[in-house]
Amino acid sequence: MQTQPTTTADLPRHSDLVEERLVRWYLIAACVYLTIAMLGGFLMGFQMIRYNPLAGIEIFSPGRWRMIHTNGVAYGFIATAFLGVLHWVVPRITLHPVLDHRLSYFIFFAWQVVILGTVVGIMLGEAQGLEWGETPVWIDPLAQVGLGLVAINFMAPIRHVKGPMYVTLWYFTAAFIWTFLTYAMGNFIPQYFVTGTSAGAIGGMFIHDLVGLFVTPLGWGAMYYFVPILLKKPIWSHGLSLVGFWGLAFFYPLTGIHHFLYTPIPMFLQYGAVLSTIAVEMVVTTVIVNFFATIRGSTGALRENIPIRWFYTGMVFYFLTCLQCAFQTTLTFQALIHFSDWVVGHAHMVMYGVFSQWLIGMMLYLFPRLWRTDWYSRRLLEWQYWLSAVGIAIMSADLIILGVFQGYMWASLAPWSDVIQFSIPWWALRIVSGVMIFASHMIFMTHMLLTWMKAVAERKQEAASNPSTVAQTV
Amino acid sequence: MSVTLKPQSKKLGGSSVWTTVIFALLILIPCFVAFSNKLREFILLYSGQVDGVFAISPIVNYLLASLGFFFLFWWGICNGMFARMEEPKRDFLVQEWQLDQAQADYESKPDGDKNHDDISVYEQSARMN
Repeated sequence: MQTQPTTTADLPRHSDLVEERLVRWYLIAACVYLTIAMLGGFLMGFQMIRYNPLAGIEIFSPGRWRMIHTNGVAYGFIATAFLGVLHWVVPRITLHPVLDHRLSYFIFFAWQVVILGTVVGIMLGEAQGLEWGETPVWIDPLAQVGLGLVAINFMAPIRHVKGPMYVTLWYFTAAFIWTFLTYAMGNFIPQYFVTGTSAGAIGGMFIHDLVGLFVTPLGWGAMYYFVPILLKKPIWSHGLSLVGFWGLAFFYPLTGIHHFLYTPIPMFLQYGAVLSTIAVEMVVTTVIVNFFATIRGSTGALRENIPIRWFYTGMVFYFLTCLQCAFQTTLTFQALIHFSDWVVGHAHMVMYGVFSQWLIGMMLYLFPRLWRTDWYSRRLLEWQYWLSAVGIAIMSADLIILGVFQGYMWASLAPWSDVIQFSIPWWALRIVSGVMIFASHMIFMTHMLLTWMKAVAERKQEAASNPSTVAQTV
Repeated sequence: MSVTLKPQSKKLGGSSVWTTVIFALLILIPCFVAFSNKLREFILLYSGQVDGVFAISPIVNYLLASLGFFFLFWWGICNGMFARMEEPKRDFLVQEWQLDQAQADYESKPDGDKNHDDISVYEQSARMN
């Protein structure tokens, strides 16, 4: 990697590189959006057990809340939090700030408009007919321009890097390009240019590329940044990490069609999707091997270091979810679990069990640095972790097992109503696990507030004792 | 704050090299064969049947994306991005610690000692450029 400065004295100051206020804003906004998204999931969960607390109110109808739940998690929480993390990571690795901090602030406010516009649009029935792409059509151009500006803003420091580039920057560079293209492909091509089966195939690619080419490279890129820092040792093999990156680049884009097996899409394309999905699982294995080889000899960190614990829990879920993916995309398996709750369990394991857990781990590392104080309570951190980890494990297992039962019941031509009756207790258990996850998040929000108040109190105390050393950090 | 890298050999260990090679071959060879086969089937289908047009959109998307990454890969090779393969992982970590050290030193100074007109090295180079 470049590292032009060779001594501490030559380095730019962190405060010149990172706009900390913006990082704080992004991370706090993301947590607020996650609260709303989880409430949306709750309402939908209650609907599944035949209790709708908002019955009769059109704008709060379950179908709309479901879309707010999914879009809120994807764009409100995950994308917003990643934007905050990028403002920390990219300038520090490249030793150059983003192109323009004013542009960063503009993007922040524009992104809030996109998210709030999406929520309002969905509630008013303006959703676009594309799974995971329900952002109203009048929001799409703004979001597309915003993604272009994000790419320009962050590619400016990356372009200064000379020589071998650290794997995090490979992943981030790809994510900036992929996200822009994926969003355009999914939101504009089926809407304006192609119809029928072609549009279905594009939609399938969009759904999966959103996970694999937007969230995955940002997530793994961030893991390759945070894990070595927290373990205080380099990643086991940088070469292997690059195999993982280029494997993702070449094999992932075709996987999405596995969402449409047994459709009129030509079979060779469906087979291609199955094969590339299995190839991606092998790529994933290289990444997992790399991270577990890195922590070998430092496993005590899993007990002591809370962010590391969140990261590695997410990695275990990531391996499980990709392994699951490799099986469920085979035609035999797909015939059993398609349309069942298996898929819902799989999606929750990916979006919450993996990426949300990683992002929460990153926040647990960043907030104390941003506020220049330790977390208020270790006990609250432990409660937050265990409620979340056990909650998502129960939810995933519950829905995945239920999906198998549903598949066999449909295959045996059981009446639809019988399948629903059978499913209701399982859906009730999902509510219980959802309560655990939501409680974990509420603990996190409360803990953030307590820690921030602690930081303010400490600054006041410092100011009283020595007025000349107080940094403006809270 | 004083931190040191945990001792680790500078060269790639034999096991690392073999793991990398085995995984690379395990992934690349079967996928290349399979992809070539599917591409051949696609060309045959598209040239033989009108219905083959269904396949055009996703395949074109995939090929464009892959072509872009092939060029990026090639650019990386030409610009030495894969030379000294294991160095970036150490450089980045040392740089991180140095950044923290420099910031901690700066923040621990009394306000009177901080010269706000004394611009950082980064700012100097930015202004010179």
